[in-house]
Amino acid sequence: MVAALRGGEADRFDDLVRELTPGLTRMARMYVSGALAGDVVQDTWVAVIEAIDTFEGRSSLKTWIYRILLNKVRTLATREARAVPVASLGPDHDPTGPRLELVHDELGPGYWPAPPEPWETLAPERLERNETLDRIAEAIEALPTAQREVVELRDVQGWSASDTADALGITDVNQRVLLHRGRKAIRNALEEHLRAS
Amino acid sequence: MRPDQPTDTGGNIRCAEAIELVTLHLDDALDNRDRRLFERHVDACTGCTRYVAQIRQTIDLTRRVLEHTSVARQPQNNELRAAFVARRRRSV
Repeated sequence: MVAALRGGEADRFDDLVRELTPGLTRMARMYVSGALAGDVVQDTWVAVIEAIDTFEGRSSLKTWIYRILLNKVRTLATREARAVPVASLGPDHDPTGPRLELVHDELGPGYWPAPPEPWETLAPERLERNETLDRIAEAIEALPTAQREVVELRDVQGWSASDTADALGITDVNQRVLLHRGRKAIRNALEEHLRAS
Repeated sequence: MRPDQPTDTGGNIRCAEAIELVTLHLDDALDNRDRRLFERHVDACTGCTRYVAQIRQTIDLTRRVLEHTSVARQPQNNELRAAFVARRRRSV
């Protein structure tokens, strides 16, 4: 792809823009509102056009483009005084639902008081519904930004652990801690939603 | 929910510890010792077996959020295409 871009193949460039723009826009919207997010994505592509000759291939093209976007949008968000503390890993609690209290009557702390009810039997008819997906989208939005970025790339967009860490400029360990907390919060929100039926 | 009696020096983990290893487990990133402890616990624990299944379901459903909420297919961005073509002309 990089060679094709350097060779001036405009159709390949179009394909890349079409493929990555939705995800880049979702990422930008974590920091700035809709129209501004579109502008930042456009600026990102302009920067890619200008810098493609300097791309060294130390990361994948995709993660390199995401890094350009994040650099731009974080700078912009700071300037707009809507900055989110990106460096923090976020609180280790679930902002969207109840905490898991693992205390068994006899075994004591650290053990399930009773096994969680399987979702298939808890609310089989609700599991696949659109409202359940809406609830997940809300739970993702409620996450601290650092967790949300990782969940977005790993679980919404299906990226690998290493690409995600690379694009976000964090270590593999941090990536995993953030993903773990994010998934836990979404799972708890989902359980609460299904239980409410 | 206790998986088995603590009988050997290899140690046993509680549900709370097993839960903290789920993400590493799903990424196949546990070292041998932790993998053994994790699998031994979960194999014998109904609560953690269900929890792992729910985390898998959570991941599957989260993946579907993309098609559920995403904007329609992107139209061709003529402005960017023109900028790209102009820039490559300068390079060759």
